[in-house]
Amino acid sequence: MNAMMKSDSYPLLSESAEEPSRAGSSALSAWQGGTLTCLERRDETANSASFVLVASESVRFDFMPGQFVTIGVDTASGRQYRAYSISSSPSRSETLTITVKRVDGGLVSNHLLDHFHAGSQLEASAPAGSFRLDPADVPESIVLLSAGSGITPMMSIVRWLRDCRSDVRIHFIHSARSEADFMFSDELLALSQQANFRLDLFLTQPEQTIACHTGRLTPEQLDALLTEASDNADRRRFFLCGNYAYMAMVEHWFAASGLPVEELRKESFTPAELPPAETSGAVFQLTVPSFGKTAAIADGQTLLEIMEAEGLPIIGACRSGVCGSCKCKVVEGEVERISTETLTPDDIAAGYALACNTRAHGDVIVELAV
Amino acid sequence: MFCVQCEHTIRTPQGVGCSFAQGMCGKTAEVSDLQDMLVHLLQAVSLYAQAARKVGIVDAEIDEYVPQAFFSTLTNVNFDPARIIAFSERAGALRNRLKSQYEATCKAQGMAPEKLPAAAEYQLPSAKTVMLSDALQFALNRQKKEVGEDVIGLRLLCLYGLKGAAAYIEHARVLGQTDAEVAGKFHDVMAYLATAPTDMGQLFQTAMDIGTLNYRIMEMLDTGETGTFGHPEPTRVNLRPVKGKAILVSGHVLHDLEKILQQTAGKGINVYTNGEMLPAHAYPAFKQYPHLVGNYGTAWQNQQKEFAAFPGSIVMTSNCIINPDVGQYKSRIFTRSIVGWPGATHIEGDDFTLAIEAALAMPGFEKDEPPHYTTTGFARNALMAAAPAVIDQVKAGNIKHFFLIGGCDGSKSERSYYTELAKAVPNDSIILTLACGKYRFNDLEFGDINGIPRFLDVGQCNDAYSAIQLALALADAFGCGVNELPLSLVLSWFEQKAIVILLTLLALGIKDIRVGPTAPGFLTPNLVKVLNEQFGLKLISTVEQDLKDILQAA
Repeated sequence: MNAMMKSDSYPLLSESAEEPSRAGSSALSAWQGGTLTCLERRDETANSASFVLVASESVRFDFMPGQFVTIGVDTASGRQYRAYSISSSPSRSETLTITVKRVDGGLVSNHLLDHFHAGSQLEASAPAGSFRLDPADVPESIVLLSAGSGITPMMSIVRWLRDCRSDVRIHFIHSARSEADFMFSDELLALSQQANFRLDLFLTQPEQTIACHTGRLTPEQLDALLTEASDNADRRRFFLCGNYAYMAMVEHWFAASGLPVEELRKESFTPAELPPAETSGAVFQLTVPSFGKTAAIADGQTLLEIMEAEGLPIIGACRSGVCGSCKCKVVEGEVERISTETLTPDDIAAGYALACNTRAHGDVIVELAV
Repeated sequence: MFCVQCEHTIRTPQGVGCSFAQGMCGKTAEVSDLQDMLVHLLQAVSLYAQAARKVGIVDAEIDEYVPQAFFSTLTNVNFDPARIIAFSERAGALRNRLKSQYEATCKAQGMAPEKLPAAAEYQLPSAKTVMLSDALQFALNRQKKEVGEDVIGLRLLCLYGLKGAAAYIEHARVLGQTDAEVAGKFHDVMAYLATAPTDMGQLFQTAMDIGTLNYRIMEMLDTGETGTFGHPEPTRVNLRPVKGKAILVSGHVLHDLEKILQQTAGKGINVYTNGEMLPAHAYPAFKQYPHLVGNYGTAWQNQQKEFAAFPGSIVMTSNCIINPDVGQYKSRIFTRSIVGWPGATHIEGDDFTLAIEAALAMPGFEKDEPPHYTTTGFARNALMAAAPAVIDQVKAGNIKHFFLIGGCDGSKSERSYYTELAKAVPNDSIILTLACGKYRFNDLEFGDINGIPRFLDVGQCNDAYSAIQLALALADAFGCGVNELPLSLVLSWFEQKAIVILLTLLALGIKDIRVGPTAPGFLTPNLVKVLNEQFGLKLISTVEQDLKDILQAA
């Protein structure tokens, strides 16, 4: 992959950029929340896009790399609020960019991706969040660990450091499903050619055009990667963002390694890493006879979503198909099992499924597993 | 979060323990992390309590508070982050008070205060976000790579065992039973665990010391219960509803049941026990209340269905509570003492008006159901009174074996083992049971051996003390040790009270106990092996195999 930037990608060391600073043009007052208008929409992958937002008045967006904004949009189900990490750098304080990925059943994300374009407006709160790189306390070396759309706050950090011509060593360890799901790939692959920037990419479905590790990141691989790169092990700060299962794995590794916890910053997001559902729009029935419950389930919706909404006693701990807590038995009905990671072949043959990773494609009857 | 304290903990090929957004009990990662922080703060208090005792300061409020707040971290006790934070704030304040007092006393005595581990000085942050980021350093599996999983496993055996002991200290305290020496030993273990110990021999010995300490605590609780409510007598309890308004009382705290019975007298409300409260029917003090009509429901894991169908209010006096949003009865469930669920009404003090009003607002049971009975109350005195007859039957060869089948219940299908075992034991055997594991078979008919019932319900989990007394009396009568008796213990465990009872049995030298349905997640294969070598402790296998092995060995 060559080091040239795509024309619409974020400039790394733009010669025309004003003198980089976190606050940008300090003569302007800091934006405190309100209506934002979409200046530009950039599709990052087939199911994600960045929205470059501007305020109606002259303000600067004052935030620290890694922070988020809470936005409110009017959807078919009324006004909904969600937090999104900012993917742009505070050194470019005239705009604020969020990057959104399509998620299964994701009311707001999917609404934005389907209906939000240049000129569209939304309400947003002032940037906030304790997951951030404080410009007053920049370490010598940072490790960025992200999975899926957990990459977005990392981009803000990377972009800010680059804009500041910082010599901080960056080790970026990112996990995604496939090349097609790897957001900001051109920009990161270009950066990986630079000194002081190392990219380790983990793809569960690699396609061999990008150099990467195959499969999920494991604690053993983390050990190996960070030992290799441990030029200054004691002065590294870790930034972690991903789904529950990913975060839990890294946090355990971190705790077990005896690394100083004050050097770990973390941010989680809820959605499981499910591929977008193919839905016919049909609505079926999900029945749990032992609890006398019957509820509507849309084609392609996960069993867990409906069972939780119906107040059934099911635990969705990892929500990523890896922990097995939401194991249930599909007694009848057409379902699609995306992950069966903790199930044995006998379990599957007997009808067991992981509710967070099982989609309905017809009427289903479910028994809660014991 | 990282929590591995109950039997339902998540087991994946990557490891054992709940470590995602929610534990299998339903507690959120936030609550779990806040509980880790609370434990850390309570250890700080104990570090100072231990040091202060050396200069003659014994603070009864602190001695009571530390085990009480520790109890809130047991499985299925408190799911409310605001309450856990409030417990932590009070722990921090008590530590600060004791620290000042300790330093002033040292100064007055002309000596330098002891240099305590850094853990003693932890300051509770004011913002929850900071608490949660601090909590990572208190994660119970921290240092695993450095010290190895066996050390972590032994630390957890001690910590979880001590949690069980703390619960019984609190149960005893409610009945006016406290002991400064017990409190001192409790602080010693808390303080020791705060030092992140790594010596496996010392950790193992500490686990045994916790078992020994708990034997004394169960004795205190027995004294409190029998002293307040009399000695249990074998009593038939109706397991079916009767017509009328209803209050259900669950958990272990007999004191609360008494207050509720007093306050509902003459109000046209029937009171039912649930779960571990069932043995209350056997205490003489409760027989004066005709409106204590029976027991409703079974063990804790069925409450989301049973409570949903209960046409009255519900009071949770201690563990186990599970999500009341499932079944939509949160508005009519009331928590007590250290129990908590966000949004459920918590009753402080001894005024149960809110629960009574809620019961009156509900329809109650519309009709009587045909009664069905179980018998409970074969506790210490009843067993001792029967001991001579039992001994005669053993000598005559009519009773060949005793099985103690009991412990906690849970929702896993493997637990049908205990039902099957109870059904399969030979007819010349007596079955003793205790705790909520009994619901697997207490509605079955077992008959009698020349007038001695084959099924003897000893009581709650803490009534293991009574079962131990019977075993000691039998051993004495036969002039042998407990391990030589034709007695087999087959226990089911779920949470930390069961862990501490197991430690008590091991500390008393009782061998060849079988435990199931699975080994605790925190015990490594190495530790299971050591327990097997030292105590003959085994995991259950199949009913057929275990019965064969037990009866052949006898």
